[in-house]
Amino acid sequence: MRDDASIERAMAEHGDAVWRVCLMRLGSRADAQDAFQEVFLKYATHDDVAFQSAEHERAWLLRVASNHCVDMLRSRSHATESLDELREQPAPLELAQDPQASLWEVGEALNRLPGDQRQALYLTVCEGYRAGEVAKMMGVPVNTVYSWVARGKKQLRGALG
Amino acid sequence: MNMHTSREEQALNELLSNERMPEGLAQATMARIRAAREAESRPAECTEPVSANSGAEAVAASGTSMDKSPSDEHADGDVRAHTTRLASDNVCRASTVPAHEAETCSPARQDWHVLDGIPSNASVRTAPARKTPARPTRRHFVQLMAACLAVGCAGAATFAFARETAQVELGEATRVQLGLNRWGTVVRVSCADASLQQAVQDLGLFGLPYEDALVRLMEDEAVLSELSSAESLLVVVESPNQSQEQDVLSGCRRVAEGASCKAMCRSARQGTGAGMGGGHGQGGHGAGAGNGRGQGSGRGNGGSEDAECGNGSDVGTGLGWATGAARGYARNQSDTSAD
Repeated sequence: MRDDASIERAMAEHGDAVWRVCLMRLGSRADAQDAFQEVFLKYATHDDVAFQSAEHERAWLLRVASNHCVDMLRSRSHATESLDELREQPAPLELAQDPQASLWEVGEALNRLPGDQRQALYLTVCEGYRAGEVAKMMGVPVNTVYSWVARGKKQLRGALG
Repeated sequence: MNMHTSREEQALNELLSNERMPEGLAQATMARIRAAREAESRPAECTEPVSANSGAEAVAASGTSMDKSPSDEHADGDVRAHTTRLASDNVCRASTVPAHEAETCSPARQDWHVLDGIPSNASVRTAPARKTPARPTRRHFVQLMAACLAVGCAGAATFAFARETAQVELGEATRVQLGLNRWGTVVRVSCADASLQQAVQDLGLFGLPYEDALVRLMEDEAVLSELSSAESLLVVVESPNQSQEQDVLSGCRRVAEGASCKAMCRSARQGTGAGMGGGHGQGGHGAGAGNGRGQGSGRGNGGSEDAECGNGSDVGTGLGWATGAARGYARNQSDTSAD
């Protein structure tokens, strides 16, 4: 297991990004907290990985977060519905603060997007990853990422008028 | 376009800029990791059940690893809430695990495989405990249905192609028989004589339109000489579907007009009424009935028509006395006309 110092450093450096990925994908803050803990527990346990750079470490964490969120959604959907059906019903995004009036519509537009599209949009727009990298992280085809991002941007554009 | 893109990106960045991990979550995570670490360092057998709250107590006791701000008091609730799920893999909980099971439970150290430092999907994802087998998705169902439909269509098409709906018989006593499907394609070729078999096979008639097949048969000297020594070929068309029979018959006549030899095309339906048709089909049937004169007459008529080709002696070599009678009748007729 990794030592406390390295875990705390990773959490300080990449915690916000991991948190946002979990939140964007799951919508619910409680679920996102569960996923966040699992991700860093895996990081701590997974001490045989030598990261070449901080960026490598960040990409690893985001990918683990993405995979774990998918697992959570899948295990939840087993009881009732398939993942495809779940994807069509986006979980409302619980942001920490209500957005300002000018961004209210943007928040609403984000709410209407399915979790995987929100995540792809966040990783490309906010984290600056390329579509190929996002596709690798999320385990989907590159073209799917392109269409998700385009659809998400179109929603945001419509919300901004 | 760029202006729109930058506006959208700015808006999204602005919206998410305030979104940071909740205070206390880092402490709760560290507590959970420490609990997991303790459980791992313990011997494999659990001798003493661990309370679910021990993680929270550990956090409260340590309180040094991550700075805790004064406003973090409310986060303690979060910390407790999260540590109730303490390292589910490694900790035996007194509240949920019966004593006899707690004795035997062991830390389930997950064995993760790493490829290039980044774990693959399969390695990092911990498979959720499935109590029931996963339902096939709608997509799988649609794919299965499409596959079934394709197989069904292919089977129906094959059946329709191979189904014989008409026959074309060439030569006396049906030396060569072509089976046609509803589209007029040759789906069966059969020969009465072994000597013809190879020659017909070499023509490659299977799968050809019947007109092409007839042209090949009529233009092949070896086959033609076997089928008809008098350069005259009898072609009989038979089909339960009258319209197809007429179509094939007219096609045969077109081919016969262009052929080097003389050919006579007839429908099997017409054979019983007319003397000429009877020359082919009725000889064998009628011979058993003892109507020798009538059969002879049919043959004779056929022979006289063949005589226009220059040779009237090609009639039914296998028909016995009836053929002889026909020859005699034909000869008598020609003698009479000569007189």
